[in-house]
Amino acid sequence: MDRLQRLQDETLGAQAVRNLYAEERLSDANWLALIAALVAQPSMDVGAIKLCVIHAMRHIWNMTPFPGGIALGVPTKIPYGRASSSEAFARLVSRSPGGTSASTLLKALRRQMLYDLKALKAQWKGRPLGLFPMWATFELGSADPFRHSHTFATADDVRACLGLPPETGPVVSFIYELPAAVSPHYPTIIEAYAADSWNYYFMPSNTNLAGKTLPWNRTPALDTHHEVVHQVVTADQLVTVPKEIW
Amino acid sequence: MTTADVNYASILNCSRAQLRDWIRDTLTGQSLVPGNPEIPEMLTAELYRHAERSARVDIEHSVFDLLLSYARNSATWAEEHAEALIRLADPVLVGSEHRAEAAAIFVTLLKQVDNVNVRRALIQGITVLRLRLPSSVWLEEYARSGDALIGALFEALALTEPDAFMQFTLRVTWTAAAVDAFFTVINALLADRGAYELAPSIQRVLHCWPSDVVEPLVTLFDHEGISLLGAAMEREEFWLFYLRSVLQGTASLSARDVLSGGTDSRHARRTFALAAISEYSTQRGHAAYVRVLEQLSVCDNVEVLQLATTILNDTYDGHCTVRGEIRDMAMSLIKDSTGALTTLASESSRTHDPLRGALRRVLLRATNDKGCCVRRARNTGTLV
Repeated sequence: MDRLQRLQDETLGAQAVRNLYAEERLSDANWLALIAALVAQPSMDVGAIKLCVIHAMRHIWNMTPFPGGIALGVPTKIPYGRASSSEAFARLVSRSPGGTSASTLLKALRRQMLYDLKALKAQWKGRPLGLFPMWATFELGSADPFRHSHTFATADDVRACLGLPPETGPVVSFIYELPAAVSPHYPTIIEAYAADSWNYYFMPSNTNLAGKTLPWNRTPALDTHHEVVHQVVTADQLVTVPKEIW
Repeated sequence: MTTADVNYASILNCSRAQLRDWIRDTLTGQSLVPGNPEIPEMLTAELYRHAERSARVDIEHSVFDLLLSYARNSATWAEEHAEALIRLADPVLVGSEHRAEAAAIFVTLLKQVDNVNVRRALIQGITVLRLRLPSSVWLEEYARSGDALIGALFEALALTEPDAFMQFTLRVTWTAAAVDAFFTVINALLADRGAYELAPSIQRVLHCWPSDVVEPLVTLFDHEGISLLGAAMEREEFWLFYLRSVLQGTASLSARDVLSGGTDSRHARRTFALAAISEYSTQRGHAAYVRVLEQLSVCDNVEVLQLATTILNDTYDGHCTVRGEIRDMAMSLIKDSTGALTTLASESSRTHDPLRGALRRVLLRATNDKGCCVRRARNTGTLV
């Protein structure tokens, strides 16, 4: 595990290593696949080690899309919420077949969010709200999935609480319901570390009954927030018009 | 847990070579800097926004260097990483001295690259860098790539020649992606050019688009204070859609707009009149009376007149609580419908229609204005 130690020596790798050790829900086969990939990695370069972990995670992910299993106890018929920097959302949509350039999408987005829900959905027909796996938050017993002890007054409040990357500019928040065929799952390290850019603020659940985002260290200190991952849903599932927060 | 903010100042103090390596590492996933897992180019875009002018120039050079290296040997770049690099055209290359050169590289790459995601990024990059190519280029691209690039092609065409964009829409398959892209482009055009400039181009082709494009579009332009109904109702299916909306009270349109639309007006108005009568028969009451009468005010046929006469009869029989207003409206309608009046008079005479009494009262009241009509009715024996 000297390679993990090498990763841990880097400030930005330490959280990932802590999470690897804290994860409790992977099968033995998944762990063996990860360890085998690390052992086979000849370089001690931290970038190479990161890539090795990513490739191993992707391999496991391809074999088992949701390695942590279905999250029992999470109702599916509640509003789920998801936030993204407005620019990131525009850049994401620009990658789809219907995508225009991000700047055009952003310009259109700001007009479209002024329409009512019916008009917006007619215009965003089938538009995915994210890539697989989609990360979402929820609040049991509340129609507002973003409900939290701390008020989301600014875009940075939302980013901090939901553990989004520390980007600038506004965020756009979506509230939607899951279609019957989509089940939410609590995320594991596989979902957090299979992408090129790691989910730095992820914290794995230490039980099967919770999934939590680790918020940024802001003042006042923020509580952790529920999080799940699920298959891609589209704008057809929106229950309110998306809102931009600056 | 630290906030782990990216230390942009330290990155911006690097040499140009180090800066280029940092950008490449973030694009290719070798950096530990926390970023958006789905959008690898966001970190460099963020860095660019944090930079002062001189540092921005360094970033522009670095991104352009990477672009040149990709153009010279694309095999050394994974396609997803190349796509992220190309997407840095916005914001890094848009205002840079490399803008025109980068756009030319994109055009060259577009001819060489097969990967559809990279091609989409290239077309969007060409648009962002404000290189306007003839619409024929994009039509050829559509023939090559099909619907996979529909959004990028819509945008490229719309920004070059809005009319060419409208004509192009007549050739596409209206997938969900195409509908989404269409409304993105339309909203962007509305923001840039305004509804009044855009409306004429739309009205020329509107009747050829499917209903899941036309209906939201009419609503969208309603918000802008422009009615596209005249063009939309060239097709009967749209006319009937709006007719139903008016009758159900869910349309923001006036009945007059609907009734004056469409080319087959005779057929359409007859259909409308029958629907209005049906509604009237189930929704008696002040609101229904007034709405039906208002809707009928541009009609001139027998069914309509029959309805108006029924309404008159009701008002005389005391069923309506607002007799004066309703009666005046019905009277006005009947007096204006000379041709239908004569026909109706004839029919009611032959069939001993119970409306006859009401009709006679109306005719007598109309004598001053429509003397010839009444005389004709009497001469033909239809009014006794």
